[in-house]
Amino acid sequence: MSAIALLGQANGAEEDTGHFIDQFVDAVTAPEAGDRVVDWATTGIEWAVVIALFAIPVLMVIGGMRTRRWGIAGGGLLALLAVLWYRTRPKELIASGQRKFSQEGEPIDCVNAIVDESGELLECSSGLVSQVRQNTVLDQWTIPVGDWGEQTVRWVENNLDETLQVIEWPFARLLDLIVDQWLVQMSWITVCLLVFAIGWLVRGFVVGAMSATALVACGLLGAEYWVETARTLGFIAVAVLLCVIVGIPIGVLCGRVDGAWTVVRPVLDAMQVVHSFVYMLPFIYFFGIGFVSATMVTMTFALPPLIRLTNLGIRQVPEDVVEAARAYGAPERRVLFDVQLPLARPAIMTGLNQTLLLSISMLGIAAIMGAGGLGRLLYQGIQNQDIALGVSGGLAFFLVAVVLDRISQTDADRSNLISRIVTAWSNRRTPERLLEAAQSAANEKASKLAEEPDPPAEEFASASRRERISVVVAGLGALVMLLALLLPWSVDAGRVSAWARFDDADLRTEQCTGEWVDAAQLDSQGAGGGSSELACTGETRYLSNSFNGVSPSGGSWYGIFMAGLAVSLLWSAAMMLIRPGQTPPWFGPHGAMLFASGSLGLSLAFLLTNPPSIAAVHTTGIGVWIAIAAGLVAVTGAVAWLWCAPMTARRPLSARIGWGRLAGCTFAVLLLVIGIYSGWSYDTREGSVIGPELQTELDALEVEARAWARESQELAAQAEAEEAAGNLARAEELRNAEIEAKSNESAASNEFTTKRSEAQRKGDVIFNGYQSDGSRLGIWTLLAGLATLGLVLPAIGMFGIDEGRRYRWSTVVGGVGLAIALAPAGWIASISRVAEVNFVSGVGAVVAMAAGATIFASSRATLAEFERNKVYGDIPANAD
Amino acid sequence: MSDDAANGQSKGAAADGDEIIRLNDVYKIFGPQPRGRAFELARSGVPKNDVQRLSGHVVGLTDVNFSVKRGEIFVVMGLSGSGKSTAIRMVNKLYDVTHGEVLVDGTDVQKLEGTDLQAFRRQKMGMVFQHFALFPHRSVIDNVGYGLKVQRVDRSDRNDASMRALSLVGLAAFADHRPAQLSGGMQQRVGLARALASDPDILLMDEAFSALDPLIRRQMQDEMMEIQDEVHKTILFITHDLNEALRIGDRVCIMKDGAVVQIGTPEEILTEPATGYVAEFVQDVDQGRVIKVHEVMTEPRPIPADMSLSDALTLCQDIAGRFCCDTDGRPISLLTAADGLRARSMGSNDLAKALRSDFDRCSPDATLNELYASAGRGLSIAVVDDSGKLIGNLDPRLIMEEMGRVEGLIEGFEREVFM
Ligand SMILES: Nc1ncnc2c1ncn2[C@@H]1O[C@H](COP(=O)(O)OP(=O)(O)OP(=O)(O)O)[C@@H](O)[C@H]1O
Ligand SMILES: [Mg+2]
Repeated sequence: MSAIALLGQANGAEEDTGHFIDQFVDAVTAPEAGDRVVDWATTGIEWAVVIALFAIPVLMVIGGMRTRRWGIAGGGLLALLAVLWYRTRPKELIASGQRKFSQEGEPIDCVNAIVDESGELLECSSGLVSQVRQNTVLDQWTIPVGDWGEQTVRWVENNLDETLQVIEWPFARLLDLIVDQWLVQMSWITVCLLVFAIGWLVRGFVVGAMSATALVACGLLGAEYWVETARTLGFIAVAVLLCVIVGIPIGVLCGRVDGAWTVVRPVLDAMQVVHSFVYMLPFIYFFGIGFVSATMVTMTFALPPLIRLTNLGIRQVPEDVVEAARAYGAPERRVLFDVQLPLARPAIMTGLNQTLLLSISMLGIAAIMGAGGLGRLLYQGIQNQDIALGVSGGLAFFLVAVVLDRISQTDADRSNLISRIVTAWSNRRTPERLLEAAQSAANEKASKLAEEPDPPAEEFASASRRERISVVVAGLGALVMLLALLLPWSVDAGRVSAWARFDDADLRTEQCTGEWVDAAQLDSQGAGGGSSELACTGETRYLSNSFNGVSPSGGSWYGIFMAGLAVSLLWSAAMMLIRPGQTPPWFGPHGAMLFASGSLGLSLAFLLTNPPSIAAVHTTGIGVWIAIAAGLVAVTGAVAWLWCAPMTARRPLSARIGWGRLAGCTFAVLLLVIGIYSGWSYDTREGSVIGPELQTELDALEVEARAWARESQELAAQAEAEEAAGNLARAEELRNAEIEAKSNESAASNEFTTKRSEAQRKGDVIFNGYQSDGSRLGIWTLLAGLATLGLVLPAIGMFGIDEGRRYRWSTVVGGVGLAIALAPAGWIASISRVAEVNFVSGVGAVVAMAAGATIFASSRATLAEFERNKVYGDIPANAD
Repeated sequence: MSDDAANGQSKGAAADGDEIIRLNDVYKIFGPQPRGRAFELARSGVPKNDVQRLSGHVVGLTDVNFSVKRGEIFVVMGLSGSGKSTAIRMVNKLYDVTHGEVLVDGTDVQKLEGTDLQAFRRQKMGMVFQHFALFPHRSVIDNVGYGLKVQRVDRSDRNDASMRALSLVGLAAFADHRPAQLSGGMQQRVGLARALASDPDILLMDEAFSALDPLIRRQMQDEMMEIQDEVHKTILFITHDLNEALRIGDRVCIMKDGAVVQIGTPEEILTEPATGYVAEFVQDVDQGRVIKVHEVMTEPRPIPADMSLSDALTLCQDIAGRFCCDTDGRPISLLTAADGLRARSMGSNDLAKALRSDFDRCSPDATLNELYASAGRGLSIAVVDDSGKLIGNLDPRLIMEEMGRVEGLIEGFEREVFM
């Protein structure tokens, strides 16, 4: 012990410039001053102990604990005696400062030696305090908790293996069934429809549709992402399912039996206080890394709020309602299912939502534990610094979280996901608080229900003749647009799909005047090898292929988006003719205008998208022209409709000019300018990256490498021959030469690959929005954006703040904005649909989309205020 | 029902009915160790507050004995915390007794368990709760039909029975509403309908009308009595309102601190309060509402028609007037002392000239408060039976006197209490 202490002291002496706290402690515990301080301190502590020992019984006696006072006072007295004995026993002294002693005849230098009363050296130490102060002292008192733990784990593994398996089984089985065998195997469409159905049933149509859309978006990031999305959904589903299976019964039990609650409650507290990184370990030890232990850890974290809230919900059911059920002879089972559970439903649902939110927030840790899913992608993206993976994975992650949350959300809470996760986190030990909000909302709903049983029926203003005609015109335009999708949009090659290949000739159908025969047969005289291609005995002719509006090589997503808008327009028009005003607000005249201009914008964008220079054979099909014409008709109809529709704002519009919206549009135009200078397409294909110059260089390298390879082979053969001849020295020489040749070869081929990949990495060809190969849509969107700067002036009230004028021009601005947003959307979607993976759309298109969305958004608020006029019984319909 | 015949509207008939509910030596202690020291203390008669202070246990009921007869409305009355709800919950074993037995139709309810208990509750009891205790997530008709649902009655029968019960309380039109959509009074009537729907012998009504405003409460009381006339249940009714107790109760049981203080008919409670506690209660009651004419009226002693005026006047010495009857004994005219004297002073001794016929009639079961207006005229009121025969003479001064007597009684008790 003393040796170590001395060592520690030696170290301490060397580093006298330590941390200032160390310096302070050094000063205080300096050989001279140290012991005195220690003395004071120990004395102080002892007296504090003595006083405390007396104070406690005194306080207890005052507090009325009569039965215990003698015991405690006696104990205190004993403690006092012990302390007194300790203080008065013969002391070891500490010789302060550096002194010389001799031990067994050898002289020793000793700082703070421990001596007996006669001055004999007992132990040479550096003083108790300075000794204890050394970190090395910790080693002498190490508590081997880790070893104990390890032994326990080993013991459990050896002896309770089967128990562990039994515990593991339901988890593994459920995960296997739901995730691997079911969700991952299922077609993505089925999963999306399923989510849509669930969302619709649980929360309503809009939530269902939005959830499905978000999932489709996850899928469109790529099949890889889809699988992980499905896996994540499944993982969360299993975790939440297990939480429900375990948590609700426990919660119910706790709610009904006080004893159970007193046991469960501290367990829950412990589960929530201990950090998940800590309890993650035993799970990993016992169940290994992977889905199972990740699920268990997630459950451990996410389960408590559900139990707490279920317990609370059951307890909050008014006692007399429960008594009523009992008084009518209901057995306890019915009391539970007829009364307690239904009335605890808001609480349980809040708990479920909390569990879900906490499960989502555990996905990261689950990923670290090897659970796979989107978390794994993110984790990989971080570790490999793979930005694309990280961004896409993150987006998918976010979307999945939003979908799950929206579906499970209670009506009460309308805040966004992130703030809800934050609340869930901060309230995870007191989830009761969340319930209040839920309940007050429920009460509100109930009282509303009580107050207004059914709202009076409303009549909307019927359509005038002029309005009806314009509606019909717009609807016809939409119909023709839809029909135009069936006509060819691209002939010979696809406008966008041309990017996918260098020679679009293969899109044309070859027609043979003679017969197709095996090419090998035909030129059997020639040197051609055994190719199995077909050859034409007669003349080969090419037929023009044409592609319609929705086929990949035709209009692709331009056409599909257009179709969506046209259908919406058609529906708005039809509903207008059948039941004016009864449609959802966005399917009225301004909606029609937005749909019409959006679809016109899309067909125009298709036309204006520049086909790549290499697509020599592309021609634009008739369908596009018809679609554009029909789009113009539809816009005309929609404008006419807009201008005669009886619409009024629900609340008066602000009487001030909306400079903010002008600023918004200006900002959007700036974005568009940025957009055209940013890349609209990235070409990383080998063929476009490696130019002729580099190619010759590479060719030379390849030749060189081949030459070296040949040489090394020759040398090897020679060496073998010499060896056989017994000329060993010569053979040795040759072998050395061979090795050199080989290394030269590998150097050459190395250089070849480096050059090539470097070129591929650096030489991404980026096309701007104004470049021909960058689709040129950048220019067009900028032009449209500039136009909105003019159109927005009447919309913001520059020419009089008349409500109708602002409404109509806002609609026009919104329509143009939508078109600006959709054009690059068509580009992005089509490119990703048809082009090969090395040709992708660029960020410029995204910026342009954002600009379009900004313009649209600047008008949205105004439009949302407007509603079709209503007529009431006593006012004649033609009052306006 | 076998007891229907015996169960006429009049109270006399009810009093003849046999016992249906009986509480024998019932104790109820709330707390972790109900059968421990607290029970011993309570048993040896230590007051509730002291038991609580000494043992930390709350005494719910202590030594409660009462019995309810078939077909009667038995009202348990007392201040808040006096153990009324506890007592009523003993009857259907929502609470377990600490000691004692609760007999319903001869079976000890407290010994029932599990399915027996459930069957018992289904068949015998309907309960109405102070705060309605409707199931908020079920429609009105499903609330009403809950007891039948538990009895596994099929849906159409159940709905028929529920609709019948609902129309009895006048809420048939609201069958498909949610309880939250009804007013408080309507909700309570739903609670009543729920109790009636499964046609139990006994209705337990725990402060059924306390949450209602006075007007609705009165209306509900009337409705309940009307319904009771139709269905003849045994009703154990709890209230903390003495007026209500006296109004609807055949017999009233007054509780204080978990113990029964007095049991008796409303009149007995009013006229012979057993302790100062009861008397204090009674103080706030309008006695006129409870005291009936037949308790106050005097012998009719009609004047024979052939009597002379001066003879007749001697009969009117200390009363506000006497009646002359026809041959069937129906009162036809009234002689008051004042009228007689005036006629005599005008020199006539003809009785017929001094008679007046504008007197008021009332039935012997009328309560005094119904007669305040008549009494204000100072004329004697003729008490007649159903056939119109004179059976009593009610002097308005007696009404006032009777009220005064009760007040004096209270003063006497007050002296007893405070001195
Ligand atoms: N479940 C319970 N646990 C503990 N004490 C109780 C319980 N129920 C009632 N008590 C106590 O028993 C006593 C009687 O309560 P009870 O509910 O019977 O009063 P009550 O007469 O119905 O009063 P109120 O008119 O206010 O309803 C009260 O002192 C109360 O504190
Ligand atoms: Mg009560």
